[in-house]
Amino acid sequence: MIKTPQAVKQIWANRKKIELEAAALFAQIAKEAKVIWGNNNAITDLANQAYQDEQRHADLCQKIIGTKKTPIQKLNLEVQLGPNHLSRVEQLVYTSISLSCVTETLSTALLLEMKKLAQPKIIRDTVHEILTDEIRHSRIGWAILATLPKNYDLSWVSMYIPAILNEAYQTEVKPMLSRNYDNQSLEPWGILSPKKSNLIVAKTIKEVIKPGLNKFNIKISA
Amino acid sequence: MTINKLFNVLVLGGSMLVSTNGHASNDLTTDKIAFCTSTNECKEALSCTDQGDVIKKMVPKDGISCCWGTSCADLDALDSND
Repeated sequence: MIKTPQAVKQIWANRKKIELEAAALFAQIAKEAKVIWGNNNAITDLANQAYQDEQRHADLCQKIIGTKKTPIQKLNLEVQLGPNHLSRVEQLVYTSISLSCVTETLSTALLLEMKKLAQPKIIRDTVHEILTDEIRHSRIGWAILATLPKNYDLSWVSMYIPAILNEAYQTEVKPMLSRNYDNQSLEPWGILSPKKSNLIVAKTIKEVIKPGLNKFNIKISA
Repeated sequence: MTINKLFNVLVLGGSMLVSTNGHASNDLTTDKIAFCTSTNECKEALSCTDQGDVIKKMVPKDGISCCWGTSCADLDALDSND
């Protein structure tokens, strides 16, 4: 049996933390969508499912990190959605764009590359399972934008996009990259090099996120 | 699967999740359709606008249209046949 390198465990531990934070945000999105759009709306159902998915992803990460059981973390589900001065709907829109349209879209693109390179079965299976879910999680954000009335003006979001992109890179992408390690040797373990990741991130912003936001009249200068 | 196909799969597929008739395909392993919906909704969602190399096509079949990335010329040809 191949022993998992310590550096790989550390990076998948970062991913576990990120998955749990996403779980809390999706739980809050589900709650807010219910308040705004009432019972039985598609967004609440999708976000609740995403909340469950992200917790399962954290469990998958734990399996890569090691077999030792760690105490189950109690999630803080009362997370702040977006800046304080925004209205309730605006906070939901802000968080949906930040979490789904940006972070989960970048994650999908990066996982597609990781899937090509992953070798140990546990990594291949984990990347495949997370990728399948991340597609649905990204779609939630685009679905929320499509749910808004056609005359709802989303141009106010544009000023926040550079900060949202930077935050997604610093807190979600960068912790998953190899740093002082031999970059090539970690790719089979689902750890992309900064150079490769940066290319994928730039291409995804240009070809998916930017035209996607433009479709909803949100302009970005990146 | 290439990154430019993610626009159809994620952005348009997400929009279809809240449409009344849409069905978003989850298949990322091939170049298959991004989603299928009614022809009218497909036309509305996929107005032929050139966004880099993300251009869309729709093909009616059995009362629905399936949509994926191709060239605007194909869509124009389809419209001219209506």
